[in-house]
Amino acid sequence: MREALRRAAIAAVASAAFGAAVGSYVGGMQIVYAAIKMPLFLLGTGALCAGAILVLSAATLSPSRAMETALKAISMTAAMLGALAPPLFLLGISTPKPAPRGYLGMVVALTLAVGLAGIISVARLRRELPTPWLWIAWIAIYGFVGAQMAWLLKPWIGYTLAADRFLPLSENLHGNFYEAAWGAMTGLIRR
Amino acid sequence: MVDSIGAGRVVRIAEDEVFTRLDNQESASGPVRLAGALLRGPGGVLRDISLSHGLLHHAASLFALTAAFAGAYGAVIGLHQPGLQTLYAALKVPIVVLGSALLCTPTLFVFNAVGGSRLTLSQILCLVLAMSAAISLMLVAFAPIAWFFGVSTNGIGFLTFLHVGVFVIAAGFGLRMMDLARRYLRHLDGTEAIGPILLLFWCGLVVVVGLQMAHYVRPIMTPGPFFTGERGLFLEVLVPAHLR
Repeated sequence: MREALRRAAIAAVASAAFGAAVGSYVGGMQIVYAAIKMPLFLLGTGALCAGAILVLSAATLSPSRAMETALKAISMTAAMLGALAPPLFLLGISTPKPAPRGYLGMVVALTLAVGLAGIISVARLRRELPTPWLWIAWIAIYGFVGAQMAWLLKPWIGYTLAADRFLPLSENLHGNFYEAAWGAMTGLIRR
Repeated sequence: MVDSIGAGRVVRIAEDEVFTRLDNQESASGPVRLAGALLRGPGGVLRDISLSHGLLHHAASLFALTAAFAGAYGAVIGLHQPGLQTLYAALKVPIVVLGSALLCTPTLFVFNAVGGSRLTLSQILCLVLAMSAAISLMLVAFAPIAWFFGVSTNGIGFLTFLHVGVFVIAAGFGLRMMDLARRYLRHLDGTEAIGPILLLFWCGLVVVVGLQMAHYVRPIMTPGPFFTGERGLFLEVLVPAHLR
């Protein structure tokens, strides 16, 4: 239990640091907003997926072992993101603003950071799980819910370039990540 | 040839490991313990079914478990239209899960008996209820995720797709458990308890009956009366109107 709390605390602090870096491009209150939302995103997604993960793993892992492994993967991802936060913060406060290239550069840097941390922790997770199917199922469920959670908690960087919204639920509750992605894809094909 | 013999041996060794694990699992009684047993490995429950021990007790527990968990998932579906519709959906989903499984039970029993199996109707009923309990367990495991998408999404099209996806996963889990039960009972008895082809055919039948039952008790997500009484085939939903 103590170990689980320690991991959750690491995940919360490290992901808050990464969130602060995400918000650094717009600056001001956006740093605080993103720092609050990032732990909510990582740990909230984990909490929502816990039931499905426990049931899928029940035949091969005990509930405590499954939760410990899941929390370990989340805290490892958060720790890596937290470790990348200082250079990203510097990038955020020094990239030209307002400038389309600056905003895009920030998006690319953050995507690369998330991709790097995600790939490493997912590769480590494979060693912890007894079967590849369980590993794929965990990743699929966490990814599926995580995408919608990120959509619900947006804006992250702040495309209006102003720290004007913490959590615009009335806007975010219209549609969802998958509908938006589908719309974007069909829009590309039609053009 | 050598490779195929080697592959066959690997499959046998893997199956022996599964059976050894199932042999070491204890029986469980009561809905909550049964839920845990179904998740970790239903060895004890399957041995009870094979020996006809406490079948009535197991059947009642599995029925209660299915009704409660499928009802909980139904309530999550119904939350899209809060109020009376939530209650209706909480009642309709157990009807679909239990109804389709129980409607197909006589088919499995009769065809299995014709094929030479010695399983009684009570044993078959317990196996079918164990399958429906496994389905409802998986449904309730995905309930927080379905709830999250339900409160954060407006589009009914996406939610329908999501719920169908969850039902497909749950049905796959339940049918896989049924296949495990078939193999384990064969291991215990030394004779074929349920024929593999019959089980495949029966699984297809359960899926079709489940789809038709869900269509018959519609609407589940959208507002409407508890039962419209409208007739129609579930295929009508799948085939566009201009192609019919």
